[in-house]
Order: sequence, then structure tokens, then C-alpha cells
Amino acid sequence: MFNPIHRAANAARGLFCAVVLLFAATGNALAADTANATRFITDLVDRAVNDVIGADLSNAEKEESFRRMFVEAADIPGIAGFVIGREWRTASPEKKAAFIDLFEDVSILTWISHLDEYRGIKIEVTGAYADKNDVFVESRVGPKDGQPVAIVWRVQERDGGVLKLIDVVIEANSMLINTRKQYASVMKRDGGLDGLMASLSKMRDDLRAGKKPTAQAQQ
Amino acid sequence: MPGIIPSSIRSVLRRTALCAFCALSLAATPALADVDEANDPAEPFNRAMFDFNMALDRALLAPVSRGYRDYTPDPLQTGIHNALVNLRSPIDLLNTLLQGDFARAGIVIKRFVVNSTAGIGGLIDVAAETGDERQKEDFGQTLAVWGVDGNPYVVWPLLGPSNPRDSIGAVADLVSDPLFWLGMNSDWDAAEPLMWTRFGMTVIDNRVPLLDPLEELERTSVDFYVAVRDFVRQQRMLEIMNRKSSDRPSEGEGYRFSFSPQQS
Repeated sequence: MFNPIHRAANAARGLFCAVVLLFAATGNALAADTANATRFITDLVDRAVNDVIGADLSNAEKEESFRRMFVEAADIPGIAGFVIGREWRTASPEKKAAFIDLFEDVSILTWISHLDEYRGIKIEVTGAYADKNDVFVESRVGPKDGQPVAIVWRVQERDGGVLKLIDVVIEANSMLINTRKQYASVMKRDGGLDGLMASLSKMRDDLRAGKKPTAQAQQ
Repeated sequence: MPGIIPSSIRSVLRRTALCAFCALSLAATPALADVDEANDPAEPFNRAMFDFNMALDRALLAPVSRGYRDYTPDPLQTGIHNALVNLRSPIDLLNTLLQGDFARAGIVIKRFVVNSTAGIGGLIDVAAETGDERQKEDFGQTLAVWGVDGNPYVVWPLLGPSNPRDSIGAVADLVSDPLFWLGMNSDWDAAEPLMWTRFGMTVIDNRVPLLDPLEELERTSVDFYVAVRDFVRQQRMLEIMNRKSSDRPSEGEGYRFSFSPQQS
């Protein structure tokens, strides 16, 4: 998965794209960023499809592969802070670290537990556009059967030109916002961040045991 | 006013009012005013209704819709969908006009004429192939365009997520549908069964595209009720703004909210 030749080839291709776009005289300073972010997402999805979903690995190995990919590609601490909202500022560093671990586990497990459903999935990048800080990579993702779904991948550039995935927008629905709203509701009901973490721990255990999560059943 | 409307008509009216609500049941509410604003004062009641509806959905509507999706030929499903959409044209037309959107009203008329003739009674969406796509409108959207707010959130038993504005809109859609009055005033015996068939097919046709997304949402959410509430509001906002999910929102709007990395 981290084949150095593959990566070098990709990097070269990325550089080529960037250079071509720079000389394309589009007058758009963000064009190169858009191209890089598009390549970042295409590469990420390719790896998910070939190295995890379609790979001949045990479930534990798949989970491990996916975790490495996810941790590298996504800004998990940044996302974690956003989905918690106001309470994040007052949380202790230990609690933050514990939540980030838990959040990472739940995110990975919900995805990995239904991996077979993603077999044969097709993704087509259809465009990309940029804000001051973000690039939105647009795609259509088709399940085995049925209509393709519009998915937008939101990417931010960090120090040293590192790209990080910060949001996945499904049919115009930001998962970042949707998750933040769910967490706000659970925190209000179950006593703040501790209550939320208890619910998420239970969800993690259920997912590990291969059961349907029941955290949502309690009210 | 029992004397004014004959009781048989009243019972049809009552039952059909239910239909219109059902047809709309999986759409509602706009305005992502504030990310942290729930706008859901009746939440305990709404949650109870949501659980009731989901139980009923799991027992009946979802399995029937899944069977329909998996065991009827795709062209038939597409044909039925197109025909149902075509039959709703008067409502689309009325509401584009009420919104003062004459360009889109023209498209509705053109679509209805083309699809009802060349499209064999609406079974084939010929107009969409030449770029005239469906303009989905209802009175709830018209009220929204007129400035009526889509809060608070309400979940009706059987009818699903809505809000006061869209609930009023659903009743208005029902009584502004010429086919409803035609069906009620007809001496033809088949009129009422046909009306019910249309209603049933509409409910299933609306449920089918949500089978997978809703299942996915339930599986991945820690609070399914809130996940659905947010989803439904976002979808409704797109409808009101006449946007497709693949359209790009402007900066600061929709999913383009500002996000800066937090220091942990």
C-alpha cells in the first residue's frame, strides 16, 4: 500500500498536473491546489478500493490498513474538536486525547463493519472548486446497483503543503454538521462529553462484537 | 359543518388528506439558521412519533418498498415514477406561478404536454432528455419563498417529518389537485380505487430511493432521530432553493461553512 515507486509515480504525476495547470494561463491561482486536492482524493479512494475493500486480507488486517489510511488522510483532532463544539475548549488534554481515540475507533468500525457492501463500488470525480482555505472535490459514487450518490470531499492544506480531509458531504449533507448535531443532542441528554463518550464506547463495543449499535435506542 | 359537505365526501376528504401528508412525509423544513439550533421544542413527542413511524416502516413500508425495488423490472419502476410525476404537474405549475417564476412554469407546461403525448401518458420522461427537467414544487415551498419560516420541527404519526408551514402546504396541495376533485366527483366506479392506487404507489415511489441512505444513516449514527432531522431539513432547503444536491452552494452557505482546525 505504501509502495514507494507507486508514490513517487503519483507525486511525479501530481507535479506534472500542477505544472501543466500553472502554465495553462487560466488566471486562477487556485487551480493547482484544486488539482492537488483532486489527486489526493482520487488516490485515497483508489487505496480504499484496492488496498482495503478488494484486498485479500483478514478483517483485522483490513481494519488496520484502513486505520492507517484514515489517520494519515483525515484531520481527526480537528474534526473531533469541531463535532464536540463548545465543550471542547474546556476539556482537559487527557479527555481530548481519549475522545479522539474513541472517535477514530467508532469512525473506522462503522465503515469497516459493512465493507462487503462497498464491493464493486464505482467513483467518478466530476469536478473541484476552491475557497480561500478549502478545496471541494466533487464526485459521483455508485453502489453495485442503484443511483450514484453525489459526494463532495472537503480538503484543507496544512503547513508544509500537507493535505487533510476534513469533511465528507453526502447529497449536500455535511457529515461534520450532521455528527455535530447528533453529538450535541446526546451531550444534552446524557450529561456532556462524559455521557457522549459512554454512548460511543457502547457503540464501539457493539460494532466490535458485530452487533447493530444500540446507543441510539436510549433516550 | 356537517350539513355543508356530504359525509361520504368528508370521509374521502379526510382519508385523502392523509395521503397528501404521506406523500410528503419524507420531506420537510429549510434554513440551516444556526448549526447548533435544534428548533425542536416538541422533541419528546416527536421522538415518540419517530419511533412509532420507524417501527411501522420496518414492519411494512420498507419491506414492501424493497420488494418493489428488487422484484419489479426497472423500466416499469421508472415508468410508474414518471407517470406519478406527470400527474403532479398541476401542483408544480400552480406553485411555480405563485412563486412568480414564469420561466419554470413554462417548463412545467412544456413537460406536461410533451410527456403526456410523446411520452405515452407520462410513462417516459421525454422532456428531461432534451434538458427540461422536473420542477418539483409544492405549496410548502411557495410559503417558504413568501418568507414563512420552516420551524419548528414536527413529526406526525404515519405522515413523518414536517413543520407547521409544510403541513399547511400539504393540505393546500391536496385541495389544489384537479385529479382529487375529478376523482371525488366522478360517477365512474374505478375513480376511487385509482386514486388510492396513485396514493399507494406515490408512498412506495418516495420510499425506494431512501431505502439504502436511511439504513446507512441508522447504522452510522449515534442519534438516528437527530441525524434524520438534519438530513430532512437539508433536503427540504435544497427543494426550496430549487437546487440539486450536486449544485455548488455559495461560500458560507450550506456545507461551505467555515472550518478552521482546532488546537488540541
